[in-house]
Amino acid sequence: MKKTFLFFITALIILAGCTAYRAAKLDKKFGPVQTVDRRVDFLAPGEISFYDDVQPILERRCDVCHGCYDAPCQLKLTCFEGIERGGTKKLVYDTSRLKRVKPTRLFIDADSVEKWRRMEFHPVLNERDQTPQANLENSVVNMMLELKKEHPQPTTELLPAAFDISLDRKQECTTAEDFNEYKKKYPLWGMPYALPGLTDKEHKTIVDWLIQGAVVTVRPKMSDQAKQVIDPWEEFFNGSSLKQQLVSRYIYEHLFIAHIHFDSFPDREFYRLVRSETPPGEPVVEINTDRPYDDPGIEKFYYRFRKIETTIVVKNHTVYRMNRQKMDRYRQLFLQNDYEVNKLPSYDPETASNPFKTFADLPAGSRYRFLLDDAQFFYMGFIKGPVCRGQVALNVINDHFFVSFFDPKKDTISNDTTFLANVSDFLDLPAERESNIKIMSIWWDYYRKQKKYLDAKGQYLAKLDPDKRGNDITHIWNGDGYNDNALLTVFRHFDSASVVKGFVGEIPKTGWVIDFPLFERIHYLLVAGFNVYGNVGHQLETRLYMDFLRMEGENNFLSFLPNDKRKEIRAEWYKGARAEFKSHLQNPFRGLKWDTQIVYTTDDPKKEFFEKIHKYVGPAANANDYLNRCPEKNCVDENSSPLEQRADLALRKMTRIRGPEIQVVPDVTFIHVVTGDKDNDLAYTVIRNKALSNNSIMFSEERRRIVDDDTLTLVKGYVGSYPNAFCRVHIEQIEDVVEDFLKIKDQLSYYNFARKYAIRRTDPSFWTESDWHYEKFLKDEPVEAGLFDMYRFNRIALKSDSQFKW
Amino acid sequence: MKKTSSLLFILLLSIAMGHSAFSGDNNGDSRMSEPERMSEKTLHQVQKLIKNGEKIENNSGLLITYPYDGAVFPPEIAAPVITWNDTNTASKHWLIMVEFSGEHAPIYAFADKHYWEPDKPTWEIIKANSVRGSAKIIVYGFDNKHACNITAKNSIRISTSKDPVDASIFYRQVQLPFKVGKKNFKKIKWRLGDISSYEKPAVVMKNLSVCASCHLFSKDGALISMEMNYNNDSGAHFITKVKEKIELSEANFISWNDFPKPELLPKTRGLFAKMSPTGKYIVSTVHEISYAALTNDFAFCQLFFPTYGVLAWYSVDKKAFHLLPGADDYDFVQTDPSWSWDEKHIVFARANTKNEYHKDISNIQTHTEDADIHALNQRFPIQFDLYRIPFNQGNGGTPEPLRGASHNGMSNYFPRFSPDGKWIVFTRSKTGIMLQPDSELFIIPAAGGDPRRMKCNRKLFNSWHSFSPNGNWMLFSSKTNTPFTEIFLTHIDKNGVDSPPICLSRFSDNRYAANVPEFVNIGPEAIKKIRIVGRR
Repeated sequence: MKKTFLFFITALIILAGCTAYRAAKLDKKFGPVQTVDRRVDFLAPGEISFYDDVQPILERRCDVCHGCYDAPCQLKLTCFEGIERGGTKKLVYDTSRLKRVKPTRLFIDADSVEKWRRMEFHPVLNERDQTPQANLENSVVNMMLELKKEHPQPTTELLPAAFDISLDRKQECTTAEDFNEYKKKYPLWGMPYALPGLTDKEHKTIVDWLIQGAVVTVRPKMSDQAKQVIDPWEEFFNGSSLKQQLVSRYIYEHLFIAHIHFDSFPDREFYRLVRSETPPGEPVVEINTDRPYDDPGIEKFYYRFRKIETTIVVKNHTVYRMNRQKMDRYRQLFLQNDYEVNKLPSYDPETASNPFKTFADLPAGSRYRFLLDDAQFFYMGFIKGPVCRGQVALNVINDHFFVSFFDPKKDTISNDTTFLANVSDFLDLPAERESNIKIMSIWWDYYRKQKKYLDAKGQYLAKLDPDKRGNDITHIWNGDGYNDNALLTVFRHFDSASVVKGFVGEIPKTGWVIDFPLFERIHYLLVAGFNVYGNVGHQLETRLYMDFLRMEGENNFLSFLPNDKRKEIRAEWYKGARAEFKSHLQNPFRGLKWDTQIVYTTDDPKKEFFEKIHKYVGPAANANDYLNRCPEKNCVDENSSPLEQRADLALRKMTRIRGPEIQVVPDVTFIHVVTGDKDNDLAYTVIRNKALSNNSIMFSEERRRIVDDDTLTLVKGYVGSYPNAFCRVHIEQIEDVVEDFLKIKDQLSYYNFARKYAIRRTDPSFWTESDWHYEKFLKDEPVEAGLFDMYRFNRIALKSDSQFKW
Repeated sequence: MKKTSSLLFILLLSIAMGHSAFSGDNNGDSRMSEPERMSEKTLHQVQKLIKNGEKIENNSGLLITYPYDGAVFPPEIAAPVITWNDTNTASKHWLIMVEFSGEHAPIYAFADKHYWEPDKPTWEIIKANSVRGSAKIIVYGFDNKHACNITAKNSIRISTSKDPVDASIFYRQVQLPFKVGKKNFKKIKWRLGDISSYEKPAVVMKNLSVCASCHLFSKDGALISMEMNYNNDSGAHFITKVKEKIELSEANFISWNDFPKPELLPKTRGLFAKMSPTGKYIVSTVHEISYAALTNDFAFCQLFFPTYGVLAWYSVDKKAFHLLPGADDYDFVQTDPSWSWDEKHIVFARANTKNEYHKDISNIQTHTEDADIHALNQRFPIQFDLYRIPFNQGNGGTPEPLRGASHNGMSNYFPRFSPDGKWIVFTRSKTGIMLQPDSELFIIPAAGGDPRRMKCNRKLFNSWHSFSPNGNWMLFSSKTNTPFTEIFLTHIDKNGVDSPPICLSRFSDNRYAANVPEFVNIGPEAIKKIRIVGRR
């Protein structure tokens, strides 16, 4: 033991010594590390522009991995400030963290390179003497690109096994000083990692920019035109009345992760609503609290709109639209109602983490309406917010389920401000005790509170409905006849998820019906209250509490089904001894004493209920999903072109294979149908839905898998931020392609399919295809689109060099 | 002459019996006794036993275990050992009588153990007199305390064919249980044998440090080809001229791994490769993945079958590999090809792929299973069908299922054409391809037809058959007597009717399984040694 320790210490000293020696060598050659001001007012003719020349290359080739929280080494290449900040070995997502760490949000938690260096970020640009030679030889960006050029990625069929492409792969995060060692160790690991390299032209552009000193022009100030739109909004949010202040706080805490788009702005212009030290008219100085409800630390602050300067990546792109109607709606919901706010709530964690306490003065019905108006956006926050990364975080939900909502006009609880205020203690959320590792005691506390809430709710409903008649179909929100947020579908793709409008896909195993208290708590649990920099305890408590909320949503759903079928149906959702026990303990049939007023005529009430909802919601239910639930043999979307109809009819058959045969099909596959008319090529997504015996247990997901129940869903367009595979097929071959797809049953048959139709990581046309999907997405959804993330792009198979041995 | 002949042909083998009534005629050794030298007393005893024996029926207490009733022997074969079981505890000695359907007098012998091996002259007499009609072998058990009291009796019939085998047999001996590794490969012996020899077949190859298995000779016996992992290349395969001393070097080898493979697949073994009868081509399974398990079952210590693969052919002249159209469908596993003797057709085994049996396709492992073959068969079933395609100079054709050997709810494999091109004999079992306890041989017309279960089948494991070049005989392997696989021989007439087999006991060994036997159109002296020179 002692020997090992000594060896370890010696190795550390040697390692540190080596790095210091190499740094000293560089100091001698290129001078010491210094602060470099890269901002310039203008560029000379012929000089490389970061925004015009470099950023488009970075966007398409680098940002597909280096964006958002899970950028490798936190190296965000989505904007100049990210490159300037550099990388770090510190992880944002760290499931073993015992203490919460200081956040490292770009633009928020530090505003200068010096501060980032103090936070252990190392440069990837040259910060020694600014000579052309030093600008290259000291730049990790250049060295990574050169390494790729020296050792281009093989164009062989399969990516060499030397590339680790697993989600939790070890991050090297090399510095310029240590680069030679990295190069020796991983000659193939130049950038872009495990993907084809840049073209010579792209490479030269970036190298020339580096030689030039990696300078950047100062960003233009907000235009007068934009100011005219934003000013009234800032004025609205910064109103001085107590009511307005409370309303602004409420809206801010719900929109703080939103990518806000003003209708009159260009499609790709987005803003964040932030708390700023500075008033409107002055540059924004964002207050960097961990969470939106944390004490801002100053008495007077301002709600401001801050332009998003990074490349938009779809994995965190949650668009919230603002326009005149929206402001009118806010006024209608929150300011025209007859209620008073006499005192503003505090920011102490116990109050602030519980929206039912903080916003008890705001009418519950208005709050619920606010959420429902943009239900998909809020749901997307659960999915695309920082909480959602990795399998353990996501296996709290099923891979595919439908969501609907209680009608705010009929659901009394969602409208009863007083009742909710009275039970607000029971609606506490674990975020109030952040970074605690007493998980079981906390779990017990919140379990009891949740139970008390459900009991109170039961008593409340009993008073309202003494005949115990229960819910009928009109208790489901129909989107007021026009709002297509009324029905949602959630897809979980193993370690990421998506939410789309409408009921998409086959009838799923489960469904949720959500009321206001549930909706609000999910937001405060997973979005407002979730600190991605929190410790393992915080992460686990969030996951465990989400179990309660999922079950509440599911029980709401069950309350619409026949009383005598509920137990049987729920038993199907929670198979397995531990799950049954847990379900019995945590989730007795609270609130399910009442029958339903819906009359069922078939033996499959779950399916019947979904169909009834769909019919009831009517025009707001989004289009019929004729790709997955077509009752007739040849039903097609008659508004689509003949080519599209042909593709629909052929591809629809792909979902026929299911169960064990689709285990090798990636979670998310984008299909590019080449039609011969470039402008009319088609895009589809094939999603694999993996069935679980239950969601009660956080770990050992593999043991809970019921592969026989796995299904595929086909969606037109794009679902998912992290494609695992691209397929490119010609419309003239589409029926044959589907025939080949239907032969898939194992790793090899998938490989045979993929080598014919998939675009591999090693395919020289990889970037062309990746660009096509991005452009298609932008064309189809100019505002909602974002850059897809390639970090989870699969290899079609692992190369084998083995030979048979007895 | 007739009387003389009769007397002459009465032979008596008197076995030492200590205190027996025949002690005066015994010298303590098993030996042939000329009738003239038989004492009156002995002669009297024999006559009395025969007379008493005529009064009783065959009974199940005594069972002649070899030869099998109805067995047909080739004219040149060396003498077999006649064996029996007698459960009657009173039986202490046995009288063996060989009775002929012609005019020849019977032959008698005594034994005090459960077997009797005729000496060469006696056996030649038996063979010569069992060609036109069968010979009856009767074994009487008797109790020496009550002289001439018959305690048990049974009989069988054998006959001798006019058709000679006219070929040698090349086969491999492997120690059981089957183990892998260089040390174990070195213990494997390759023998070339002659059925007329009273000696064990000569070892022509041994001490190999790599695995070698399937082999085939050209129709004229001029070429030999064999899978051999030369230079540790699992796809290596040699083809060379037959001569007394064969020295194998790199020049003699091709490698199926030179045929490009999809990157995901492991290197090929060139599995079940078969040289064409003229030696111009070799056809083999390539791009294959196999399931392989070593079990705790001594007799059936391995379960092996390809789960994926296509057929490719190699042109020996042009030194080029090609896929074989019609047997190149990656939706199936295609394997175990067999050439028609005119090289116009190939019959092969095809099944739905079973790659789900592998946990990781890119890292195929041989499993060690603590289970017997039956349990493994339950877990890993696979059923092959036989398909036929024209070779068509390598252009192949549309695969047609072979009626009688396909889609019959069984696994059909190891097809072999009869040299006259009229028949195909194949192996059938509930599942699998190697090694299956219930495997049996069936014969069908070469173009497909009603299958006929062959009479030669024994109770346990019948497979790996090979026709003699003249088509009159077929050998196969069986474990009916012992886990150490033995080689059997059956006569096949022009109507494809086979006989109960004979066992080539001199080819057997009680420590080695005799497997992958092939008839070779050469004499037993044609190859004396095969060795590898250079790297191995």
